[in-house]
Amino acid sequence: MNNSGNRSGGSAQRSLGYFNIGHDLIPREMIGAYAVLKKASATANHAGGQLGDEQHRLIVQTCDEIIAGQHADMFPLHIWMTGSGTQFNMNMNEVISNRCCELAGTPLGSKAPVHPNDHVNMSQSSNDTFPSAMNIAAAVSVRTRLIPSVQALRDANAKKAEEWKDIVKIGRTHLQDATPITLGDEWSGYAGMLDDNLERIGDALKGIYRLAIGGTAVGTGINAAPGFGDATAAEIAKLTCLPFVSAPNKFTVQGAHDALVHLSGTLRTLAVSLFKIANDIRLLSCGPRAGFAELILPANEPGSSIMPGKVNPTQVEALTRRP
Amino acid sequence: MNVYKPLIIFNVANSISLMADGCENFRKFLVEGTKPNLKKIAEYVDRSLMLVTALSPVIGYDKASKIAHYALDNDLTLKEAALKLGLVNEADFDRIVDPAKMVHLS
Repeated sequence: MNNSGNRSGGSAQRSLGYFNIGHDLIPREMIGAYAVLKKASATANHAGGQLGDEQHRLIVQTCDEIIAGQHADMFPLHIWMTGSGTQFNMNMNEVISNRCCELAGTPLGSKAPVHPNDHVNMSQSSNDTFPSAMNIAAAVSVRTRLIPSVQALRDANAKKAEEWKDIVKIGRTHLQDATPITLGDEWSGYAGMLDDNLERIGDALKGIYRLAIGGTAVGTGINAAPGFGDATAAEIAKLTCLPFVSAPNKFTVQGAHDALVHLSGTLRTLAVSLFKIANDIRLLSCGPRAGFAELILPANEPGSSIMPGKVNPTQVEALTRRP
Repeated sequence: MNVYKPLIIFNVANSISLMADGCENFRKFLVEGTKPNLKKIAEYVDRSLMLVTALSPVIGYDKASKIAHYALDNDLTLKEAALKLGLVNEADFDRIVDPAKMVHLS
């Protein structure tokens, strides 16, 4: 069984043996998202009278540790594994079980007092938890990281638009001279594009908030008590402060992941907008003596190892380079 | 059941974090420090041939076009070309061809 201190579990070790492919790990955002889901499930099972007090207390304590960022090194699995993510679910179940053993003073791998399948995975399947965790990870990342960052960029553009609203400049269409425009007009356009993107992303989150939890193996809810999905989703909503619900049709959200496809589409639209904005700025700043040279970019770092004084639009290059 | 789940969330999470960090960096290290080159911007407006568009409703598209082409071919300003061709007088030109009046029309 596990060595002392290694709580990742047998399923994780087997997965690493059979799927030791590449360097890309299951996204770290999935660790916290799954721990939120396991905590919420334990709370729903406890409230439903199926999970004992001690098991509930230990699972909740362990999930709180994981949500706080502890034990992150216990999730070493690659993305190139089973398509259902089952080994990651079992990795999570076993890490939680093993940590509960530690807290209870029982040997790692003893599965007592908290069993990875019977207690941590109670009323659940990988087939409803992995998709739910995917949605939680995506929504939380979008809400806490992406939206604030896009909003701040939008605000910075709007500020420039206001500052530069009276600077009359040449407009261009087809990269050829056209009638005048203000520099503020151009930058207000960029701010407006980002406003539109924020609206699109917000709309896409509506589908992401509908979780598969409660559907278990194939969407029928076998081995879960009636109401478990709703109770767990409500708990997840409470923990994340986001309006998650148990999806009205589990076959929809377990058979396909269209909400994530839609979100991905809005992310692509944002990428296209960012590319256009950055590319415009790069073009208008080209020079300084033999280009448009209408904009002066901050000289953050030396641009060349051989050409003294060169400044390059490196921030544009970083933003426009797609993986 | 869809069996590409790990790959789906890998790509979505990657897109989210790349663009969150990308927007942050672009704002801090580029947008906030960008300045307009007022001298260059004014120079382009002064030398612009497309200001001729404002003359179109007054003297017609064809005459306005003639002024623009004449200015380009002979390396003249729009005003020099207009006066040389005698298609508009100086006072009218100065009144009509004013870049500041050509923006914010709405």
